[in-house]
Amino acid sequence: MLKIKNLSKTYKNGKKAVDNLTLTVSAGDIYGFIGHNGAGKTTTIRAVTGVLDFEEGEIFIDGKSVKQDPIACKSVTAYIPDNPDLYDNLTGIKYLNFIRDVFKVPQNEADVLIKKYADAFEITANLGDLISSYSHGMKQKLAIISAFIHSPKLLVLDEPFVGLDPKAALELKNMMHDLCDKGGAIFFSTHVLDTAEKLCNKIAIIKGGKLLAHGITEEILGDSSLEEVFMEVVSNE
Amino acid sequence: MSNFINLTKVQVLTLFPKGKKQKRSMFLLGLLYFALAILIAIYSVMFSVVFCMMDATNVIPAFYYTITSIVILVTTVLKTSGLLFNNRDYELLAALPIKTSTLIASRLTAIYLMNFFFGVSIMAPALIPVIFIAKPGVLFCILYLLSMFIVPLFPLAISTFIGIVVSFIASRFRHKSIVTILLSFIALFAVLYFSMTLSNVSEEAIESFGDAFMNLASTFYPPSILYNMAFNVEDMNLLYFALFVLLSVGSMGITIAILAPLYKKIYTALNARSAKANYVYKTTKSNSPFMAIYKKELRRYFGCTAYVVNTAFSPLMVLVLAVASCFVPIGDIIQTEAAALGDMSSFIARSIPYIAGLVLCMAPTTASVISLEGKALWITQTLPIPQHINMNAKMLVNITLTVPVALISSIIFKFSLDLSILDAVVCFIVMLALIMLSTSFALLLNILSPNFNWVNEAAIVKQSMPVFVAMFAMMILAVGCMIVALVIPLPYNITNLGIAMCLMLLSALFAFLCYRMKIKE
Repeated sequence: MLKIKNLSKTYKNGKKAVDNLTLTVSAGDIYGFIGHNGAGKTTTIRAVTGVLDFEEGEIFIDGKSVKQDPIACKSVTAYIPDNPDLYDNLTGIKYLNFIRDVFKVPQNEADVLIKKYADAFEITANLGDLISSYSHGMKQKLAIISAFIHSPKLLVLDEPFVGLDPKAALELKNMMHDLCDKGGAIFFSTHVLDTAEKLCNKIAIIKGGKLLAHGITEEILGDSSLEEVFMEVVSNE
Repeated sequence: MSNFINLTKVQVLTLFPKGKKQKRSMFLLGLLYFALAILIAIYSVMFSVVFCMMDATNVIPAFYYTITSIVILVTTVLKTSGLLFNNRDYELLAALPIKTSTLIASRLTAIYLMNFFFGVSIMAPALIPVIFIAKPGVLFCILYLLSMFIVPLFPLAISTFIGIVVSFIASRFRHKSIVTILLSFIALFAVLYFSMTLSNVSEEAIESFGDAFMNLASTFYPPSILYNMAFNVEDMNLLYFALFVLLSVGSMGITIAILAPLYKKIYTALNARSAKANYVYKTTKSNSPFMAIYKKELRRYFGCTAYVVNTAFSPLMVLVLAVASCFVPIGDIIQTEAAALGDMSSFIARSIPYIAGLVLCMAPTTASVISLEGKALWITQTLPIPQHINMNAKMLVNITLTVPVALISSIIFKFSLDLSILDAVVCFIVMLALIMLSTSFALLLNILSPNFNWVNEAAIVKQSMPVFVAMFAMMILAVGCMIVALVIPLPYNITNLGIAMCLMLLSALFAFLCYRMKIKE
């Protein structure tokens, strides 16, 4: 579903944010992308979603190149950034309808999904209010709903659990499992190692733009916790 | 005092971006400002010489003081509300141990500095002919130059006060943006009306221009009396100078003192968004991706007061011009120029599309539409939408705002200026061509020079480089096209249609570039 090949990204100030990164996310995977602050997680995610240009390497989503066929890649991808700045002057429902129309989701299908997810996150009553009146958590929930209503094949999330209350976090995890059960894939970054350990069947650890370890979670962890493995891998470099 | 200096430094520093590309934009903007200052200075000296020749040397300081003050008032009255009450850094600053009055003063200082440089470029050159002809003395010159630091204070205080009143009233309403827009336009038109009254000096009064001007100025802008008494070329009066200083500084102090206790209340009320939390889900009709983006852009447009006020003013002025042409005999007004060129009706038919088009295209919405994406840019970047659909939707907002005005005003001009049907149609086509060009050109400028790291929407809408370049470029182009239309010895409708075609081709080129250029953060 997602193939990153030899991805490198150097910013104008000379800083190499990502260095020759290669990894594959297959259908059904919940792939955790873990690293300390400034390791290159967000840069990688932004390159995957088409927000950031990159000079070296290639990225394929559902077999299509992000550089050659960006529209086709974006039509099967949903992205939720760590700080979801939305359109403050729209109401929640207008924003969701906007996403519905842009992704050409059939009206009756969108109705069912919006109602289902809004009820699950308990924000249906707030959908008629301006997004500018929403708290950070409500904006996060709205961004999550907008990502799921067009049934993406690849879901890319950057720190998705920050700002979510425990009930909403559990709901999101259920939605992630549902998506993967239906053949989708999830690629997300997180600092919450406990969540990554329980949720992800595959993980990758990045430091200084370089991939230090990646693969099936159970094989990487062995008998240790993810925290122990992470600290060991990162300190050995 | 140190808090004020630190805050002001930070606010000024945020105006100067760090990136190479944005530094280049700021440099270009600085050059534009400088060129404008030189132009204003030349006009100042020229008019000063004319006043000296009309035996009105005595009134020169007061005249330029009044003009400077009124221009500052007109240009600032729309800015203060946005700059005071629509800042993203308010919560950060409000939590610091800083007095509210200090915060307000630092915000107003940025506006003061801009107005100060503008005032200097008008008033300083005007002194030169006075020195040579009237030889007023060293103290006069020193105090006149010092007074330029104080001149912006009173009009700034008035426009701030108007901004407070507008914001206070708007904060009481549910639809705050709409109320602020309406009240801002009322305030602006009121100020313009009074300022235009000052230019109604009759032919007889030209003979004693100085007295006629001061009579009018004293009625509509009383501080000019103090200034005139203080800076009498023959007999400078230090007492009146002191009173002028007291009035200017005092008015600013009183305004800040009134605003300080109300600031938090007004800010909270204006920026609070009432949440009803009573939505019941209902099915809504689907739209195409293009219509979805267009509707989103329209909502974005009407959601920002500064954006609407700054861009809707020009189309409104064209409508006012068109309606005014029904009552004001424009033929009589331009009789001299028409006589020089021969046929008056031909002159009007040739030039009116460009005059109206110039005003209509001065502030296209597309000049800041990319920058206003701000931190929500990631949404557009991740949508499966080809760039041309996104850009077309943005351009359509400006077209929606301006083309109906062009159509209505062309119809009005047909009757008020006695144009033929063909003349009116060509008038509309020329205005349409100017609209299309300004729309695509301004958008291209904003794609090439966006600024997403703003804390205040008003600053982006009013003061960014693409906004200024688009305005000046369209002014120069419209005037240039009008000159070409007047000079070319061909039937005027053919000339105008030819020019319109060239403008359309140019706008198509710019639109193509908009579709291809990547938006860089």
